[in-house]
Amino acid sequence: MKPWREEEPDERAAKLLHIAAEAPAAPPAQQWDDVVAASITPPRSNMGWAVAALLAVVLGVSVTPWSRAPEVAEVPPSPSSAVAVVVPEAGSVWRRLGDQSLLLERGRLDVDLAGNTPTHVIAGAVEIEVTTARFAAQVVNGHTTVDVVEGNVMLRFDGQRQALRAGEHFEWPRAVPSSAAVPPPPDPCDAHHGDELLACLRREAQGAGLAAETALFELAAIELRGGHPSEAVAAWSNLVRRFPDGVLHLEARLALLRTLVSTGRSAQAAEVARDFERCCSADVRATDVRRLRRQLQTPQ
Amino acid sequence: MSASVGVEHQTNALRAATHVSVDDVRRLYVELSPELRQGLARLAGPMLDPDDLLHEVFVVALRRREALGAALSPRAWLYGIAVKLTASRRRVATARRFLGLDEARSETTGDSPARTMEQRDAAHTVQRVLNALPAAKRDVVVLFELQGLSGEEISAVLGIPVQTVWTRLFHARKAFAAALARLEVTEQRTSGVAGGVS
Repeated sequence: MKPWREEEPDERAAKLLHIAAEAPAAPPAQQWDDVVAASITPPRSNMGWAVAALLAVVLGVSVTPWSRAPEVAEVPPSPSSAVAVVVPEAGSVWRRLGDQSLLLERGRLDVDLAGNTPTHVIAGAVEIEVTTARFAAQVVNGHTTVDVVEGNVMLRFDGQRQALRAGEHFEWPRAVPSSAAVPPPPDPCDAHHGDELLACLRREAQGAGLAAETALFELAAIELRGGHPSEAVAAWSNLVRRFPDGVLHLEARLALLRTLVSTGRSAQAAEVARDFERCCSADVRATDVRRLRRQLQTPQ
Repeated sequence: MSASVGVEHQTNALRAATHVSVDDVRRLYVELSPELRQGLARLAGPMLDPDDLLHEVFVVALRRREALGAALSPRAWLYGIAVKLTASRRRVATARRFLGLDEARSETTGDSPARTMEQRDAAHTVQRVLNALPAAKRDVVVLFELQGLSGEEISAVLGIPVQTVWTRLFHARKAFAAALARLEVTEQRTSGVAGGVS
């Protein structure tokens, strides 16, 4: 059934569908945590529209001063519990789970709590235990931040516990330090020029790890700039062979491919292209590489 | 697009288990969400946000884990939810637009960077043609031709016999070709340039 029937040979439509079907799918914009958070919220009924419209009419007719004030929800005090003032930011999704718990799914809550019994605020993946404190919790795209203004809170996250005092800030997942903030290690070959630089890079390339990989790449680039494509090809090939999953393997494969094509070594270039397709099919350049290989393999 | 080995493994795991855990659903999300999102975008057209729909599909999956666990194919079950949800949301969106409550959404949402220009153009044209098809035909074209579901899976998704799937597909292909031809003619007339729609 898959092929289009002979008596209905609309090849244009079939071809178009075939091309569209081959298009790779983009990853979703939302996170799994958002789905989980939404799944624990009771589903809203279809009457929501009607209720919203009715409320809009009522609010429109009777404009009262409190309609402009921020939404402030007072948690009703239970005999032993705290007095809490909760101020949610507009658009926040939150709710109470009994007298002693609040669940913040998305947005920001400013909480002012004074009592005897610990109250729990679940903000994303972080549980905040608090007795008397003023703090803000925020959940954005599964990322939780807590800022304590007064008092102390106890945080539980990922099996860990951490106390947070007034003036302290907490983030979960923890921010990854920017690579830009970390100074790169000094390159031992930086001080050299000309032949000394090449000799230094060759020595580095005989070593191991990232230093050797980057030395090989730079060596190849210098050889190419110096008009020695064969040496460049040798260095890049060496890099790909020794570091097939290294940080520079994609760039090395593509540079090797370009150099082989520009020097007319089509058979070798096709082989490198095929290797690229095998190892790196998810790379955005894989389609271009595939096309290039087909061109290289097409008899002139 | 393709039922990968990972999904097959998960299918068997889900079948064997009487209880589907949140983590099982999460694994399905990781494995299938790009494909489902693409399918939802094709089923829904420009009126709806595929990310919102995908979100809702998996919220349903989490809330109805027992039904998911009982399904022969979790992939087909998720597509079934996707089709029903999309149909319902399309109706609502159409009503809202009719009432002037919603603006039409932009069609350029979440393309994969790996798409070639040819694939982008083809996808754009296909989407325009799909939008012109009746829902039943659009669903079967999307599920079979674009998402790569088998006839048996589509049968499970749409709740119709397999033979009906093939019949519907035959008529849907004819309708698709006719709609494409109409679109091409319209394009030629309005642009004044000879040649097809690209």
